Amino acid sequence: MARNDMENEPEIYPYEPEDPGEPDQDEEPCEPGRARRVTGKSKESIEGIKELGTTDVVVPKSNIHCLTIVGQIEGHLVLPPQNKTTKYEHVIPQLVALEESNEIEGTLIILNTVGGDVEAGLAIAEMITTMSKPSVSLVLGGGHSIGVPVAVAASYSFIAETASMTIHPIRLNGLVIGVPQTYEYLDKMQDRVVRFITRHSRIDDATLRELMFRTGDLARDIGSVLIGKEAVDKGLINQVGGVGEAVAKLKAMIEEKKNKGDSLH
Amino acid sequence: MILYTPMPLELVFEGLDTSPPRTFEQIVCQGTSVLAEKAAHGQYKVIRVLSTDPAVFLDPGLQPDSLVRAD
Repeated sequence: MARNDMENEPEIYPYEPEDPGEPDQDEEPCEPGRARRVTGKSKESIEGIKELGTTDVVVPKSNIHCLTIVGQIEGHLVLPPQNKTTKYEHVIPQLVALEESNEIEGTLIILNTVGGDVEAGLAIAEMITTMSKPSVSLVLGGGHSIGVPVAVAASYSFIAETASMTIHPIRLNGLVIGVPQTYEYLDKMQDRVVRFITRHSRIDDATLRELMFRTGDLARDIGSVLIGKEAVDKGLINQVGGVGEAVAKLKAMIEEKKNKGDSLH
Repeated sequence: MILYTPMPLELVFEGLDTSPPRTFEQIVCQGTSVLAEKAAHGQYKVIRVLSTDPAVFLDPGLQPDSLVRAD
């Protein structure tokens, strides 16, 4: 209940000396325990009607949460500001909150990522896959490289018809010492990714490695690009679809879990 | 650290050595400790939320890069 109260706290508005402000008439009828977003109009929305002629759409509280993974998945190094990044140190506690929350029953993961840090990507993927609540992922635009394990980590995965996934080998960056150990280390890192993907999707090891080491598909790299249906045909993703299908599937999975009771965990 | 991305690394790391170092401050915002970078007009840009309460991380006002004011 403590969290409920926190979410209903009014926002803090910047102080504007020129603006005499409106009397907060909508503050009074809002009874404690009733959701402000549904019953009242915030000061911002009244200003919106007055100044811009826009109104807020009344949003009832949802039992699903949408997690967007965009740009680079940022790991142990803060990337220069021209990169759009998803920060793992923020996403991981968010997933903990989603798992722990009483109101949220499922997670929709929207991916449009160009990959990023191997460790951070695998950490997010492991968090998603070990959640007891259902999760559905939807790859839009692109789910490349380390985005692949994140996409397959969900209980059920979707890919948009036009979305693409690049499967390619990992590369070392920074100082590379030309010793056999370097190759072995790289191979181990590669195995972590391959093992996660094969464990959480229908693709087998041989097919994934064939896609990964294919030559002639990519101009600057070895590997391959799977677009929409191809990712489904290879067994990486469950279904081609969009946001409608993804939300419907998630709702169905939530219902199914409810009907099963607590037998899952 | 291994970056696994189809994006050319020279593009990802562009400006890493030339851009001025960023300085972060620890401020308290909405009762939560936040690591933030100074922005214009006395506002701060959230870099990292320093909290052990997972619910705080779902607060839309405390997402990374959002502008906040110190308490």
